[in-house]
Amino acid sequence: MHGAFHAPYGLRKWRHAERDEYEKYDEYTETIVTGQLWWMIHKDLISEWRGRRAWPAMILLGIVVVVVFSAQMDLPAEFKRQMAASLLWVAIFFAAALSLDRSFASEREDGCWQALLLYPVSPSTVYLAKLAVNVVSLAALQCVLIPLFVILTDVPLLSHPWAMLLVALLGNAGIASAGTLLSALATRVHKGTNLTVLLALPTAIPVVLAAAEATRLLTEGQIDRSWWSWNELLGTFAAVFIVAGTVLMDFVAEE
Amino acid sequence: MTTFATAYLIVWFTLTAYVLLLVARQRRMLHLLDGEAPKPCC
Amino acid sequence: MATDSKNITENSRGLTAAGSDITTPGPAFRGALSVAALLAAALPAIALLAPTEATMGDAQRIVYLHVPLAWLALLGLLTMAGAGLMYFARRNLAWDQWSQAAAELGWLCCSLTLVTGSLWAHEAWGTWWTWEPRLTSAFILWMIYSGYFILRGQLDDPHRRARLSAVFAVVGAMDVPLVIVAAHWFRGIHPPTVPMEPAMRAVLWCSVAGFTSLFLVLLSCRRWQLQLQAFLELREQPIVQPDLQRTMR
Repeated sequence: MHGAFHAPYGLRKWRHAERDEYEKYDEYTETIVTGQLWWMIHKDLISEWRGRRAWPAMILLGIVVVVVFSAQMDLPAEFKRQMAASLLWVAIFFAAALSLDRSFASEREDGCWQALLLYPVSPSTVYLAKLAVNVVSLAALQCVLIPLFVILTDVPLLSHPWAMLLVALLGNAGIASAGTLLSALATRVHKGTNLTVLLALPTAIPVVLAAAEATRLLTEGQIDRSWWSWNELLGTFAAVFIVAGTVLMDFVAEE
Repeated sequence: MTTFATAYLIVWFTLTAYVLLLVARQRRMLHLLDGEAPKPCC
Repeated sequence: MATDSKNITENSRGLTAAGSDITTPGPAFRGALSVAALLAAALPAIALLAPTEATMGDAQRIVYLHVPLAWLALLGLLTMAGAGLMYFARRNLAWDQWSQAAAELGWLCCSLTLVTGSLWAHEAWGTWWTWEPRLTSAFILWMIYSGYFILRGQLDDPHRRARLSAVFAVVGAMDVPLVIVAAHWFRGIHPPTVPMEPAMRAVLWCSVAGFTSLFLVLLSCRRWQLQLQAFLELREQPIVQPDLQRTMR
């Protein structure tokens, strides 16, 4: 009976555990959970790399939106600077929504959801794994979009690279945390309409607003207290939604 | 004054329409439940 | 089953189906409704009693409508989220009915907030819409309510609908404070406390009290109606499943 399934990294050490030694399992729960987490992240990233289903579409949509927006922005420098940050983050959000919707897509097919839940992994771990994958894919999106935006519009987004990196990461975490939870929610509605964008848009507006403002301030070189307070807002949002997602995922994943 | 009157009328009409809709549904449902109406309380 | 006065049915998972403990509202309830209706009808009189404001004239009286409606929209969201959390705790569909009733009334109040706010903005600033923090937050709240209804519309199974809409209600309730903070900071405006005379403030409180009592009364009415509806649907379910009926024929 044991050896009938291929155990992930964390469990591999304990494949030969006797029934009496199950109490030792508790000491290594942390290893098992992080092992499961790593395994699921690995699985999703590898399947994306091999299948190339979501990332190309997402990046292409981001590029198209950025190009269209920058075509509209043939304005004097100060107006451009005011609009640039907001348009960048709107582009990132819409491209992200496409990718987020697909984050649970593989579980939607062929009863994979039930299989994932039958496997002894808690839904919160699934949420955290999907969150990590989405953060990585959004980071890839931003790596393409931000330089492209700088090239097309001459707005100095990269004048303070570390500041931009911080804002990008925090915004990324905010959109991914809320979006992953809502994408899981939308997956449980088996009617096929694209609910994720509809649900995620009002929820993620504080992130888009805060990230756009923080980006605008850094293009003007104002890295001061107000800039930091926007970052705090972004951090708060991400923290609140990561905790909420971890807790609420159990309820979303039932049945 | 007209702006306030407009606002008040909009609010009043909307809430009244909602209440009337509720009352209409209630009458229909109580009619369907006729003969098996649950016991009133308080 | 129809003769039970306490119509509690349970499915195999031990979850209580809708229709537990149906009661009709009696005289006290009708009394509350008439008081609330009187209060609502008396509002124009109350509002007209307030002193006229200097700069805006009579259009400022819209604030006696707008502020209570905005407060009720937020209260509706809190009730929705609270009822959702109680559903998770007790798994009784009655809590989902409270949630839906609160959502309907909250959506109405939010739409009315946007309309009255926009009328006021037209008088105050000459434009129908502006990205003023309060209006922005109200619009996002409206989007959350609408998303809630669209989500509910897509789901048929009562318990799944209750569960998923409760999750979204909780997400929305956590999101709204962040929206409000972000919207206020975005405009760089820290909203000044409105300088109001005591008389005006008293009228405002009367208005808030009147609207809140109307809201609470309508909430219980609507919730009872949803309970009745669930009871009716339960009664209309076929006793034997259709495909079994076919084989039995």
